[in-house]
Amino acid sequence: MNGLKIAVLVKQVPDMDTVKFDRERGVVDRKSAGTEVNPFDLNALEEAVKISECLGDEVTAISMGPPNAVKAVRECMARGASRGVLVSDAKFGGSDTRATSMILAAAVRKLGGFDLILCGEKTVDGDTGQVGPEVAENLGIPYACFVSRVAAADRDSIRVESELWDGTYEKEILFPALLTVTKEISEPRLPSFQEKMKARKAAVTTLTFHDLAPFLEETAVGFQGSPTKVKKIEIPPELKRHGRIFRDDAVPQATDELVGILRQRRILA
Amino acid sequence: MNRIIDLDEKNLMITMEGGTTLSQLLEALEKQGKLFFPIHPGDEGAEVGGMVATNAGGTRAVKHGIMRNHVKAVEIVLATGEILHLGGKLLKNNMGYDLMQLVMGSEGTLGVITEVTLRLYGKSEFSNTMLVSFQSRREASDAVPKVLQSGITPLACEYMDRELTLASAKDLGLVWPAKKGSVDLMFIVDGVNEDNLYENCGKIVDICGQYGAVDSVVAESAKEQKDLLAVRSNCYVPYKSKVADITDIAVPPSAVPDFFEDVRKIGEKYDNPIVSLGHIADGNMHNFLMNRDGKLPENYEDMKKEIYQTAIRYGGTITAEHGTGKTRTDYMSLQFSPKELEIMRSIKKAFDPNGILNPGTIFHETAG
Repeated sequence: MNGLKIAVLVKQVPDMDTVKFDRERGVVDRKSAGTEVNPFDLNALEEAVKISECLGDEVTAISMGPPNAVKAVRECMARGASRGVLVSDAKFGGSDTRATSMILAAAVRKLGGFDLILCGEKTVDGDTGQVGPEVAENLGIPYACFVSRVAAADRDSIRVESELWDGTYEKEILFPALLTVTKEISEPRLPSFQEKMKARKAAVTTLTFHDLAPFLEETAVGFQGSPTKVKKIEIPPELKRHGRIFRDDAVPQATDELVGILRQRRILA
Repeated sequence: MNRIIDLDEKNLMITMEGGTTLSQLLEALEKQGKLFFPIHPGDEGAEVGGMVATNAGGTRAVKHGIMRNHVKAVEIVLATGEILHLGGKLLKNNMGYDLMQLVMGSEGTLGVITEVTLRLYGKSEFSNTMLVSFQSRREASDAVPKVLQSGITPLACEYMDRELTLASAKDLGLVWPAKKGSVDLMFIVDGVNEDNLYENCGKIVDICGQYGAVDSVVAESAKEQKDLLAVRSNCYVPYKSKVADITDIAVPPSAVPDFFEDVRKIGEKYDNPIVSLGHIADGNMHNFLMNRDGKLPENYEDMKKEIYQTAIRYGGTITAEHGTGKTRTDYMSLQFSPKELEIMRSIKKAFDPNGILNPGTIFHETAG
């Protein structure tokens, strides 16, 4: 009997610790930093590999991006994905989350037969959290978001814990299904040197618009397929701690002020 | 006194006041983007004047040396209040005696360092951090000289007992990624391009494999590399309340395997569960001598002295990085001849006739 076929959707993002923001124009200068796999997608990949080690057949990493995103795909192959697919075409440039999810859904249909699809809850450069659920809706499959734990899985279904608002929800979902995951779900493994070297030379399948044409309209991709546009990015100013010092002779005043602040912030009734 | 005075990109040098922290220095270089300073003693709160006064080392000494190799000029205030400007933006200078070299590592006993000029270097774009795991200290320490002999000089080569890194990672809320074996070597490797980097890594892994390595993992992203370094730098923290002392000996790198074995025997002799980590490629090991029932073990002084004597027998030193300070003054005569001590005392007297600068450090007595 064949094991679960699992796909992980990953995105290559800038190194957010070093990338520079143009606050005036409200844009990210992607050339100012190196790239990495979206950290949340690494959590998704790790969980996928763990599930496949028990139940799986293979894990396929799928990434939509420019040609150099092949690096992100190879990184996933070094960390346990047995197959890597890059979805890349000049026509896809400028795609918003809707167009991206249409393209990724088309790739999933093209490759066919996945029981479980995982991705990170959001990307660190876009932060929308929309692509995962939109891909699931496009594919017409059930999904759970913000999954922090896989409680159980077999060849037909998966039981997960989902963190939503202030609660944890247990959900059981029949396959095929999609999960978006939080950082809490797993600790991504580092690749061994041997796995890294093997991945550097591994064959990566590339899917272009032409390959996906049976599943995708040209009007659904790129700028023309994007009903939304990022107008501006605002980076919140760095929060700094503010301290107040009260000397011995000001203890009653300090106490009153502290109680007032705690009441104002509803920490005290 | 924490201003950066001048970042001279043409001479590849940076001048700053002595109170500038390593963190400020690194931030200034990050903004500049292309240059870096290699010395990283672990705590970015360290002040540059202090790093010069202590001749700071750290994880990157194996490729880039210690502070002494990178200080080009200092301004120092003598005990008399006179100010000396030593060195300059020069790569070669053979005129007279090199007073700047004396001042470096003098632990504040010869003057107060108020300004420093450091050499900078082009940033290596391609680097990663590898953990290679072994079952035994002997295997790990035998592999290291072979790596250096192969022509590869890693940016860093650190040894850690697994017990230390597991505790350190837990303390930081991180996970130590090495799972097999019981000791780890951490290599930070660079290359002129990605192919060269992985070629270098491949050679290291091959050599380690010949000496019994059981696993290797690679961290490539800046965050993952930073996390590994953070765990290494934090190893002392979980042991703070349990440790009587941490030695700082150095022996010739070739002597490390035998020295390790001797330390193990000393630990057995004194019934002390010594754990170790260190800058193994430099021959510089830190052995954690443990408390017993929350107190100094009764045999602590004997055990420490025996470790010092063992290091000296190999042609080593009692302190590679941490300095003599006040706690090792008693052992100066263990390592130096009477003539050497006489000359050192006269140097101290020449700089500080009344013995007002950091008295009791290096030598018990004050001059004058």
